[in-house]
Amino acid sequence: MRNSLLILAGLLATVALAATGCDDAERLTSGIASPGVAAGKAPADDAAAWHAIADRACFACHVPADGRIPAGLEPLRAPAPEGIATRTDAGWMRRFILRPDTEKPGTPMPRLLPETPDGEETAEDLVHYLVSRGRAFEPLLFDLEPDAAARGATLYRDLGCFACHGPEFPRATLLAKTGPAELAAFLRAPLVHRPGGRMPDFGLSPEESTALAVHLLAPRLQGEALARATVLGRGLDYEYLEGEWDSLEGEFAETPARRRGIAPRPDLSRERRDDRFGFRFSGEIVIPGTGAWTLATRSDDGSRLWIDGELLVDNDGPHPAETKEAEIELAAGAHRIRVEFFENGGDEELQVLWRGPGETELRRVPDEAFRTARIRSAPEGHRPFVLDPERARRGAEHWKSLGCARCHEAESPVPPTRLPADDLTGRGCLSETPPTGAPRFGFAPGEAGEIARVLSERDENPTPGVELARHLARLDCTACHRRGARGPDEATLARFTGNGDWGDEGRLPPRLDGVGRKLTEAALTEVLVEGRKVRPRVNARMPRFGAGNVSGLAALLAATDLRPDDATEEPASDLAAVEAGRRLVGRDGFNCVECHSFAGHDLENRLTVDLAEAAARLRPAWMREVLLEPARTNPGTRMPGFFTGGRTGIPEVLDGDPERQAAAIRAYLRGGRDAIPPKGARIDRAAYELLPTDGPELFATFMRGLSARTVCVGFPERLHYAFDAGNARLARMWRGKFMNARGTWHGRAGALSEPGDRPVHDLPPGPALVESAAELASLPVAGRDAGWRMRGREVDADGTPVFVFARGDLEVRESLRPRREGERYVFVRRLEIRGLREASELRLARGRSITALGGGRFVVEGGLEIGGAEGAVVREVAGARELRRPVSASNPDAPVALVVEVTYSW
Amino acid sequence: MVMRSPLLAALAAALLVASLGAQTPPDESRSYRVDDLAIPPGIVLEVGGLLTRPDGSLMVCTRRGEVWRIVEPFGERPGFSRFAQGLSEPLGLLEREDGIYVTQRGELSRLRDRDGDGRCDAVDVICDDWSISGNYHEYLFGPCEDREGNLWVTANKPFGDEPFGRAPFRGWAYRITPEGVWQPVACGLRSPCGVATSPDGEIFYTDNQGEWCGASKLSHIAVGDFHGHPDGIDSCERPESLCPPPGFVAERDGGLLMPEVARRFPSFKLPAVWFPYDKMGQSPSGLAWDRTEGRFGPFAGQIFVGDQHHASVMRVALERVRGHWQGACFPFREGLSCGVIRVAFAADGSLVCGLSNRGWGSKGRTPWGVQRIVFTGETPFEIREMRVRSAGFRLEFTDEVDPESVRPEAFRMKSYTYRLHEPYGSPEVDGKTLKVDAARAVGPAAIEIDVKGLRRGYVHELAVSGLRDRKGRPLLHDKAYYTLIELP
Repeated sequence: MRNSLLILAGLLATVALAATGCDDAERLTSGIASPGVAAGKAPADDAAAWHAIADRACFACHVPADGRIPAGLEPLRAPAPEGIATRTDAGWMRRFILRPDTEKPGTPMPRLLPETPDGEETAEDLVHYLVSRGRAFEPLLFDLEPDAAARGATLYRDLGCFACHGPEFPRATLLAKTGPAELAAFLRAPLVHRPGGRMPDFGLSPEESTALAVHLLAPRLQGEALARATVLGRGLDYEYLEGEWDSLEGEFAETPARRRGIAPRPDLSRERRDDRFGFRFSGEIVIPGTGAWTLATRSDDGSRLWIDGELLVDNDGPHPAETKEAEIELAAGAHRIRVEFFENGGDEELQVLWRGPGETELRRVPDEAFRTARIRSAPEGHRPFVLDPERARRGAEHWKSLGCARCHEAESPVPPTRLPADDLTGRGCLSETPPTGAPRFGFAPGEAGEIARVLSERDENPTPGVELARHLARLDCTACHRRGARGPDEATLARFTGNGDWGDEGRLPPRLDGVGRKLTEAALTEVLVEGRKVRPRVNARMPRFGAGNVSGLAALLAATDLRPDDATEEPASDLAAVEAGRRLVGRDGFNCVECHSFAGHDLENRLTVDLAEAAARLRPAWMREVLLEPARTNPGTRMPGFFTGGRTGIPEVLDGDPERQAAAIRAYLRGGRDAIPPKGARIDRAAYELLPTDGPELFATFMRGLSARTVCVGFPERLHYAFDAGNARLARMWRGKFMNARGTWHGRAGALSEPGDRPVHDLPPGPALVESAAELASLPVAGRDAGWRMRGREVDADGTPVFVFARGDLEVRESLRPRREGERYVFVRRLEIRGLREASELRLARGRSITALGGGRFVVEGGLEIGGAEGAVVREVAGARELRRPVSASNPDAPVALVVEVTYSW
Repeated sequence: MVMRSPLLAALAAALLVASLGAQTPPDESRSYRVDDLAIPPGIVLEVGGLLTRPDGSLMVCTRRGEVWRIVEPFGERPGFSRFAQGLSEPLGLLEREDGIYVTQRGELSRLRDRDGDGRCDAVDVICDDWSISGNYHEYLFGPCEDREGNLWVTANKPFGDEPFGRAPFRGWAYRITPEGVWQPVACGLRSPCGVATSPDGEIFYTDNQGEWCGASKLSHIAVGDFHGHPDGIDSCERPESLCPPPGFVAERDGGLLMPEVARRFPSFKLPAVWFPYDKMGQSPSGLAWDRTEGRFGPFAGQIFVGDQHHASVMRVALERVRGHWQGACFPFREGLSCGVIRVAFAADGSLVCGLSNRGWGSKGRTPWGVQRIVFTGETPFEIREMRVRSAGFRLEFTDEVDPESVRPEAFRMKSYTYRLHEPYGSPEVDGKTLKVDAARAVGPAAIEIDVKGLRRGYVHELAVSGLRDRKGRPLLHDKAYYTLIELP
């Protein structure tokens, strides 16, 4: 009999899909881009038919008469066989293979087997075969966090699950077939299990996927059902951590676990290092009798103990073994307990103690009192499965002969059949009574006719617009996004959540109208392939559909939306334009930073789309338009216009020319995340990475190789220097990152710091100015030993520091500031010298070789260039060469200072 | 069964709150309220120094090297502006006519705003004659000004690495003359986190228990003092020193009881007050005299001392006996949100507290911040003052005492002292329980107790029970710790 189910070659349709493990029924019954199908009506238009053709995978079994599958109608791959059995109850699987449409209403899987004893045998064989390709479903133990269901419900709403699955997920099928741990695993990697992308990957964290699974299986995880599913074991869950903390506040909470396990009691008798480690214990504590209980920790260093989520004992901080206790009224029975502990250095200890009502002494809580509850939740009627290899072998044959692989695997041993070139209406599997052996899809009234109509039209060279529309229908893009007349209905739109401050832009998935003109192909690809989230205030998350399923979509969008006259070239730009753009974006310009984050800087976590990504994401023509006319270019945007009536509010920049200003903004933003942040960017100054933006930042530190009295000065232009106040001299210059302050600001600190970037150019050790004949000839001693002392420092009007130091009457005021010179910034070093009595020399640089370039320019080995050093000479001093600029003694009593300016660049 | 009922959970939570509340003395907050200062995101106010100004504004210098000006600090939206940046762990501020003086690790500096735009535009070096080794613990505290216009600062001793070479004069007090001359004047300090001038121009400092510091203390400093830590003694031989070598030899003399050290080494300075460990904080910090003339409650003229570990403020009442400043300390207010580093009285009579617990954990819920303690107007029933008599003590209270409750049994006393030795801290040693022979009211709010066996160089710990005021209230704090150095 089973042989009769072999392919009948020559029939229009042969076979199609086989058993799946997941949840098409829920989705389809809740209605998406093909609502007609779900509601049991005929597809309303081509789009619904395109969706059905992809979903039913027509072209998994067939090829058109000319051999080319129409672009955009490629079949969606059915679930991969490897994981199906692992997450699906075997009994349910057998029923589904026999009667897919009744077990899972709306599934694209057709009936392939007769409802006869033979059919049932075949289905059972296929179940064994699928188990042999993975393992049998046996629900795993998992931890039920008390608020998981509520978090899952919130996620279901916030992520936008309702757009495909409806506001209430229809749970019946899931409840009958899988377990929470298995469902969570599926949700974490849906594309592995369903490569077709019908269920896309939302990049869920383990916590999120678990919470969603708990929400979806909620009826099995509450009340009586939960009590039945709860498995209790001795001990507490623990997490072992390594790190250095002074307290359980702050960083401790963010430190990830290095190891997890179950501990018989919260103490330190498990594998760990001697110092700088921590533990987190959680589970339940069973209180023997109702009354006032005292709980305590004794610890070295800090510990804390929570009961039922409330902090009870706070024994935090670094300290020798100390006992802290607190009393609480507790009902007899189990209560949630959590204990945290850290050890910094020295001895360590941790005990949890209690004292019952009427007792006088604290004593160790006995091991029996600790337990952890876990959940093992299986569908009703679940029974352990025993694999029969003989059945599995037979199942493998059915798998082959039924052509299951055509839909479920990348390659199938059964070749596709060619569709006839004429009208397909009512033929083969599209007929009302399909021939024996043909798959029975159970089409909705009219659906088969629509599929036949669309397939018979044979539009095999569609315009990009049609091809794009097919893709959008196939992947259900318009379940969430609006494009033209398509998109979610008002009720669905109303369900999306976000931050009200930003209106619909901060809540709804963006419109796709003209998106191919707005975004670069790279940006579109990033969103489509990587699920890149761009709008931080929109809660809905763009999922990944699988690279193979969206390939070419970005190009199609561009081909459809781009206008022939769109400029594709970048406007010309130079450092001056970049500076102007930075000014316009910042607080002293259009103040874009009031609403937009920059390169991830978003101090209060409240801003919208990141400016540093704008130039890479937006095409030049669209960006120009949106800057000049935001409301017309991006309908519904809250972005205000900055060039009302063709005039700019900032006339002093670029002659107030709107076109040039828009081009300058783009020129600046093309610097991306590496651009100097605009003034007013919401930078977290609590962070250790120092990032000057609004002006020079000063940072006092112990610097390796200099002294414990070093002041580092960083400029937004990314030029920085270190001034050694201990020896009253300019010591080092570098470019790029300024400083990381962690070693100076974290904990007790006191670490020696290093410049934040390389290369570092050292100035000659010793004083900058040498006067006496003896000093001129030898390598000077350290500034302090040579009599130089700091007088202090001043701050110029623009915030630039001026260091003042002196030896007796001889006083020097020294400053460095960046200056734009061509396409780069150079340091201008300015020295004002007063009270010079002898002919002296300024020591500008030191190195093994120094080359004169002419015109007062020199280059030192290592690439440091000195400019403006007219009259400087190279001297051999103590084994190296020094570039020195002679300065002549002025009238020491004259109030006018001698001023020397040179530039440094590299 | 797991308590999953929300009702039970709520009940448990309510009970929990009640029981947590019971951990702090119930009534401190009735008389002294604590207010938070709202700090905008992105500003890290790890307070190192605190300046209260006549217009109600604050200047705060931070361990990250900034100085912030805060106008209407306890209003709804305090105005923050950065006055200065790039200072090296500034830990104290002092306002004088010519600018704001600040201690940095390597220098005493003056901050000036020459153009009056609200931002510092000159950082003048006043004195930088000492050296620092690059050890993290070499903090510099102060300055405060004496009667002659000298500025005093106290310098921590290092612990561990000294990457730029060992520095002399660590664990010293320095005096800087109006001409900017550096004078290292007293040695033997350990971790002198607070230094301040009394209303009559004397300099006092607090020190933290540890090696060679048997218990945390408040001490008077004078030129030539040795305060007990031997590490800096060798600098006494240097030409700059104004402190003669005390003669103390760590290897030989370590382990002596404090009064014995004082007998053998005349320049060894016994404290004004020892703060018994954990009973009275663990890390005393900044101190301030109450010059509010009653606006801060009934303790005018007394000293308020912060504690970094306990996130608390303690109270000290001193008297001068045979030339030595000594007196008692009392618990005052717990429950600040973080370790207290600095205290300063504001123009409105509240006590502003600057907080940080970086590097040294503290009680409380935040890593840094500013709070203030405000007298609510409800005078607590407290021992206001404790003075030594040749035959006992005189106690003065903040309110009239119920004569019925004045009985000798209401007073228990013990005395103990500490060792001067290298191990961390000293236990209370040579303890003795003293008999209170008599207790009599000597005024509506004063009691004399007669105690036999008072000992010089010992803490006299008093515990009171059953005493009530005329309203029937018991004492808010029933302990006092009198450090008896001299007998009248």
